[in-house]
Amino acid sequence: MSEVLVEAKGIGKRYRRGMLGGIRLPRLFGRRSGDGADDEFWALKDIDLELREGDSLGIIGPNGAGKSTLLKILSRVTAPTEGVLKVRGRVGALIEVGAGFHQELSGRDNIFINGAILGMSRKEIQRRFDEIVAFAELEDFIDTPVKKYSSGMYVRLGFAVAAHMDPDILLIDEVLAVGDMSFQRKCIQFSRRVNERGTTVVLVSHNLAQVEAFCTNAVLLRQGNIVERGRTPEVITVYARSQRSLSEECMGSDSENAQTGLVRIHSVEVASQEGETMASTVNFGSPVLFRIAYSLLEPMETPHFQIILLRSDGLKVGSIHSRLDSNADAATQQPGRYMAEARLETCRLVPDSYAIEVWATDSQHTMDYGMDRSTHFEVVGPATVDSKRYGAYVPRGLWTFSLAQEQTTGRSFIDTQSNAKGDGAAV
Amino acid sequence: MTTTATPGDVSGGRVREEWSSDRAYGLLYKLRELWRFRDLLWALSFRSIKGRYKQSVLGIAWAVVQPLAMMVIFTIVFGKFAKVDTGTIPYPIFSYAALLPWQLFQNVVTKGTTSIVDNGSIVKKLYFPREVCALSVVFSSLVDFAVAGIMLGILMIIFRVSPSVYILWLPVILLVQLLFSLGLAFFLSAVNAFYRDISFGVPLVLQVWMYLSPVAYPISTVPERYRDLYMLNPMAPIIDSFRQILVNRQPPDWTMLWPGVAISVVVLVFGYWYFKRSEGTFADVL
Repeated sequence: MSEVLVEAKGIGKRYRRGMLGGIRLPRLFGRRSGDGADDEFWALKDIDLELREGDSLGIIGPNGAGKSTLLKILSRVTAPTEGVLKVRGRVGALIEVGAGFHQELSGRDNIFINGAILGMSRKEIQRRFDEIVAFAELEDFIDTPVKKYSSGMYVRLGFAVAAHMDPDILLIDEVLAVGDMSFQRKCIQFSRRVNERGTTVVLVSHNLAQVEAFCTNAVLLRQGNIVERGRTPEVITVYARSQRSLSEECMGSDSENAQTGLVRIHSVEVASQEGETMASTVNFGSPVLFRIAYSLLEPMETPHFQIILLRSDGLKVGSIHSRLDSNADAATQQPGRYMAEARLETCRLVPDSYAIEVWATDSQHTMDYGMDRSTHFEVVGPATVDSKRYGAYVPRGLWTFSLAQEQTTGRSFIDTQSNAKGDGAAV
Repeated sequence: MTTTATPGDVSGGRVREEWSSDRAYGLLYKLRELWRFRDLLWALSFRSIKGRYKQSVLGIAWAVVQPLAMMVIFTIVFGKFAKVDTGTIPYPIFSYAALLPWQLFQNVVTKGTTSIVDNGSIVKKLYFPREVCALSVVFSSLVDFAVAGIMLGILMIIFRVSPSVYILWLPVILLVQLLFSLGLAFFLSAVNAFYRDISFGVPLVLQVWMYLSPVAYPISTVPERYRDLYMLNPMAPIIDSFRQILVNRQPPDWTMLWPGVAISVVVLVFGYWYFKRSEGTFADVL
């Protein structure tokens, strides 16, 4: 049995509201006065966790559930108000890239500063210095002040240092999950490698696909409590379901004004091949199918759907509109269950994880009938296709190559180009 | 040596040290942990030394300009106008020998006070013994002190004041001053994390404090009946001792100094104790 590295028992963290405003003077000496229960709240309560060597745990939950607070307690940045935390081994935290960087100092100096802040010794950094520089691909700029760096170079340097720490327990915060895609992927690859070496990894993320891809186990936090724990897919399903029922609740209360809720979207599925149900990953360049199951609550004309594709950092990459693509009549349909499918010949989204937001609207696109944003999928593909060089979406061109006959006019080039037909169906 | 997994230890079967939030760790453990983070202390000191004067034309020479400018003002006001009696020592060198340690004290206390807040971005996100922040201020201020010290040498040559063997007391007196200022920095930086008022009040208090210390005038000008009260200020005997060993060619007056030493130690112990007991919540208030 592998060694237990983190053991949390009954962890609770109490904050006082308006801590910076009217603090009572006795607080100066940290006296805990029993009064004022109304201006305090528990960001975490009764948290039990056990992490063993080589575990990978995802912490998910809505905003304000206490995820970051839990990470702060595990990393010992803040002390728990109650409960006991036992940590065995060296803790590394990938919480901020380039922590403590001094703008005026060179990349070289900052490697040492940042490394020391992350808990590495000078000797250790010295030994791995060349590796770090090579990893960051900054050989030519290592003696340039970091204020002259582009944001990409800055992040690369910070991450390169972090990637060379060697902790027993690695904590990763969701702030890392924003930022550019290739960086995010690098980060996940790194975490996976580290995890395979036996390091325990804790990942806090909003990106469910990322958590699913990386963590074997997960806990779901809500209002400071662990409400679900277990294998990642199950925990994510519970979370997604609760999120959906939450949004349905909202819609239900809105249905009075008849603007929303006429169409109830039950599920949105992504399939990588026709007929195959539920795939959370799609190969770059292969067909993809979006299947929307919905109900009409009243007789109404066939609704139109808009599928918006959101990259993990929130970028709206594109959308698919049934109103633009289909010639279906606006016939009146009776209440009941229906299915709508949109198929793309080839998925040409740059490998990353994506969220789908589906809107049901009327044919004039003036009224929203319903919305669903619980579905995620991941595009996997060649590592060379990354957002840095390819953008978010790689349309397919039909290329021809020919010898230019009349080089003087240049017309033939234009002709060749206009003959090449773009593939409109690809995303 | 320690049995813990030091940061440099990446050998396969490393010993994993256990830490538990419900155990009370003694002073020895805390100092050992501080020792383990010595490279961080080095990095933070290095960052502020090297980063401070970047993009400035005079660079580290600013460390000299500050006490030098004060010396010129003091020489005009106290030396020429008020005619403070400094015995055989020329007033410029008399005041510079005191401004030197005073500037160090002022730097450590002012920057030490804001050190936790200034390092907020890392204090909020990463764990390390928080006293590293204030300690790095001490080290980076010592560099300024050393540079400004060169100017004292130059002044001594100009005014033909030769050093004496008593200059060997310098590390001891310096240590006493650092213990005192570090104690203040610990306490004030912790309080400042909760109440930022401190960072506004400290420069003001220090200004007043300088005039309550024998920087611009010798202790002998303080009326005898206030002398005991006056000497409760540890900076009074400390500044006086600096002057004694640097330019007066005399050993420090220990009958005057020992109460200062005692107070310094008490301040350090209390400051460190208060700092350690409140550091767990720094991240919550930054």
